[in-house]
Amino acid sequence: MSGLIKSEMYKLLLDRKKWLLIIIAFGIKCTFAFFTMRINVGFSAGIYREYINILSETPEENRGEYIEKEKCRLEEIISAKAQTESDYHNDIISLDEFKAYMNSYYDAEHKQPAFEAILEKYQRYSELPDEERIYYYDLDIQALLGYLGFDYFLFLFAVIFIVPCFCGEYSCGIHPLISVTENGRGKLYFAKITAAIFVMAIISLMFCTADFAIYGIKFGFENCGMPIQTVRRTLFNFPAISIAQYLVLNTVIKVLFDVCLATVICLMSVLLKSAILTAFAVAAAVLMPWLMNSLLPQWINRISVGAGLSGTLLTCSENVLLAVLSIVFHMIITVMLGYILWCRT
Amino acid sequence: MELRFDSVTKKYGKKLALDGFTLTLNEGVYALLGPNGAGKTTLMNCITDRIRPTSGAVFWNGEDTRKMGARFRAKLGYLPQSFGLYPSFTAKQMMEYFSKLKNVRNAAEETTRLLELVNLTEDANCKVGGFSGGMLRRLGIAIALLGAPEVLILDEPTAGLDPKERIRFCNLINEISENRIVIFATHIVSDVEAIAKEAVLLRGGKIILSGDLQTLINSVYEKVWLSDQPNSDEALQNDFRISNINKTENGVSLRIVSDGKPFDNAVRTTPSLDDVYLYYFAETAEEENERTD
Amino acid sequence: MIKFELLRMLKSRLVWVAAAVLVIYYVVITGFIAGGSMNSARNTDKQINTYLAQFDEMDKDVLIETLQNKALELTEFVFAPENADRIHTEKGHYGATLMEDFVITVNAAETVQYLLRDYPEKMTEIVNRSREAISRLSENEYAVKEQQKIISQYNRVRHFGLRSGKAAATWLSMQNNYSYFGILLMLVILMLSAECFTCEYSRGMNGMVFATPNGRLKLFLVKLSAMMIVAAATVFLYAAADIVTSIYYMGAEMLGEPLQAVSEFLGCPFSITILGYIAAKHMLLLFLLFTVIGVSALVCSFIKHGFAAAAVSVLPYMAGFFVWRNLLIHPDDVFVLESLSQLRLWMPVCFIDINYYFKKFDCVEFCGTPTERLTICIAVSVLIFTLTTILAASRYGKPGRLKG
Repeated sequence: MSGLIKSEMYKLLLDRKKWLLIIIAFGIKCTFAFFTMRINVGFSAGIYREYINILSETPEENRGEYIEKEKCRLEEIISAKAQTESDYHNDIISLDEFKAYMNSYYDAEHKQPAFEAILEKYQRYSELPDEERIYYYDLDIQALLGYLGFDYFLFLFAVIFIVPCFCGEYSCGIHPLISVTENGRGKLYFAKITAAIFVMAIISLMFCTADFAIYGIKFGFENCGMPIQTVRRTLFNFPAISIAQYLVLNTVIKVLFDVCLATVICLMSVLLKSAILTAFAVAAAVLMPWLMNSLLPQWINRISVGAGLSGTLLTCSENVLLAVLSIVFHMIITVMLGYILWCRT
Repeated sequence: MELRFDSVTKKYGKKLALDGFTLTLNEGVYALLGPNGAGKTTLMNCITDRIRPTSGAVFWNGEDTRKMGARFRAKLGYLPQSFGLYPSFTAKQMMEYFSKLKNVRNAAEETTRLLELVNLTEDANCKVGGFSGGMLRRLGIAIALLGAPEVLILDEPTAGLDPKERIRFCNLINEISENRIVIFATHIVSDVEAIAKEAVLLRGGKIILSGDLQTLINSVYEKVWLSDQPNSDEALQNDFRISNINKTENGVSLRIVSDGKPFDNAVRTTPSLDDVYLYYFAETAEEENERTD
Repeated sequence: MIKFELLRMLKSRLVWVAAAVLVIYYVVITGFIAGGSMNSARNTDKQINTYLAQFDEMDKDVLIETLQNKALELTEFVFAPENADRIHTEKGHYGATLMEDFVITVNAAETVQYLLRDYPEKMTEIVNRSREAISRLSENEYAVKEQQKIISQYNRVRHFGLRSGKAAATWLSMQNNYSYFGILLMLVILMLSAECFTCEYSRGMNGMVFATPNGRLKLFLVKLSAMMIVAAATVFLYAAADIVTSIYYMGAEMLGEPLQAVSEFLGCPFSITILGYIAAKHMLLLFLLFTVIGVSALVCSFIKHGFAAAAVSVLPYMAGFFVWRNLLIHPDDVFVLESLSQLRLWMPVCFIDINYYFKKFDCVEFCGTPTERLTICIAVSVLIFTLTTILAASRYGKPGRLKG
């Protein structure tokens, strides 16, 4: 059996210089990640950091007061700005006066968007226990969490490399020879599935590691020990774990769903026996529901493989359980059905 | 060892591909003779469990081969009529791959031995994608022989082989047929004469006749004639089953397979296996019209 | 020969599986996703139109004032605490309840206000602003031309029927959902093209076929034509389904209204009806599918394996998809907007969702002339299709390198 698994892995990874394709795909993925993983907010990160520094140095009991004061100050300036514009349009003040006033409002105008983000953070923190109200520069973590999502590269990789696992036997005409050998049915099927799962898991881990490595190179890992609830309101129901632990858990679930995708592809391959048709069926069954997730009912999004591949399921601990159940269900059904179809005469 | 077919029937929709095929085979080489659509490939697919018979079963030493599953397939060697291989694999890699599928011990030695047997030693490290048709078939034969199978199923095994390779193949089958059941389907009657112990004539999914070669020949013993005629026009060829036409000084010498004396000057001659094939499978125009009516 | 090619395609499993998937997705999007809100908007529209019919002959300013007064009256009535119980139980004059009367009147007032006052005023404002800009930027020739183009496009009288555009607005915003259907359609055509142009190789017939006199260029043209027919037929069926659904939800009269009758398209610079917009959407989708066929044919002429060719062909469209998606997800990111908005010019994949082109004036400088971005995109897609098919035709059926 191990010999068969090795043969299958050779065919999946090394035959016809596929290893070169993997390296190229990995390179493109890393380049893409490097350029798209960035702080993407509608305000100045520098001003945001200033506010964070102020709040982190301010004692807890005085923070509310500071926030309130700053909020009033900015609101006054913004409303004064609106008044000044109106006065200018109504010829109450001259152009020179208008320009002078507007210059004085520039600072507040610039700070307003960043302050709104700080205000949202403060309001979110009010729901957390005291020890978790840590003010730190988290835009990099936000960038990472915003970047993580459906990995289209990995999906394309899965389709290109896993589809030929079974379809290749039909397309090159070797299936008649294989199916009459002693190990050509049950054992070979499980060897192929094992190889496909293993390859998918390895590549998925490689891609995830690349993402985190690029994050580390760009931003560093200093704040990964902070509680996850400090960055995501949707994770309030989550157990109190750090950002690093959350990311590890997220990665594990995502890798398992990627493995699930491999088994779904194998089932479709055995069912349809045509590589192109299989690729289309997988896109229609997995990719399209994910793209349309905002239109579909929540319960579909919770159990679909596409949603699991996005790594966005983990918003509460119930979802973790649901994710695990979904993975187990998908894998059992797809492997069993695939076995029946492969061995069928 | 015994391979028994018990009323094996296979229907594809309304078409009956095999009709109550019943036969018992022991050690030796058996040829399946029949025209296209006789049911030869369907029978082979039933033996190799690639298709399920509509009714009936195949038994190996008294045990149903379908229930035996992998245990029976461990005893099989199969060469289909058309097949593919991984084009990027070398011949050696293909043999190693199939060694694993067949649980062959000493795979490396077996690979070397079998590649030598089919005269592919020099091409062992060449990619299969670059092989000619004949080379592919020889490699297919080597794959079928991996694991010393007790039952060898060969579908048109000499198709695409040059005469030298055909002779070599026939000699090889003769060598290995001891303690083995070899079933091969072919249209090349000379191959049957060279290696088969017995032949089974199939038509329309039914056995027309089976037995050793001499029994088959004896069945057309007084039905093969030689006659000299001025020419062999189309009418003659439609009216009689002509197995050979030789040009002579005064016309043509015809070898005719017929129940009765076809011409006054016809004389009986010793029949051959070709005549047997013609007698049972070729139709005169009259017979064809009767059949279609 | 085209007939044989079409017959071959129709008999393949690929076509039937793809057709089944497309039908399922269309039904899901139209029935389950759009159905609920569309039915509600449709019912509201009917009620509003019935209500507005009684004001057909009224002067426009009087009509606006009358409806506004009625709306104000009903607003005060509905939000008065003493009426809280009555408004949901008591029968209305033209709706099932008084609350419905309120909704109908307010919507009718908004509709009339928009069609008879807001829209013309907005157009006048745009035109005046452009005229003012011309006098200010008189030295910049291109800027002047651009403003003149704006004036010519927005300084037009549009005749609106007095009809509620609620259902139309809801339906047209639902069209965003159909962009996913467009992606699926793209994948279908890509898959069929890859299979079509490589089927000879996969079945081992290439030797026989390419040795015949018609087996190369003519065969390529036949396959290309067959694929274009399939794409056109699919789009035609999709358009027919769309129009039937539109008539059901909006009513046939609404299809003849200017697109600007829907407030979301207030800034549309084109003189086009709602039906014209739906037709344009499908035409542009067809252009996109033709580029898919062209690119696929070119890739297949190099890679003679269907699956591999399909995988390579999908890459440029995946890249285009990222452009489109990122523009949706990161609208505030200036870096993204600037770099990708230029890329948009060259990406026919943006024809999946054409709302952007019809919602505002969007011209770019092309040889010193302001040219609509949509026109350039169409020209680019035609160019892509032409170049790829010419290159593919020159390579099709030619022998590859022999490998030892």
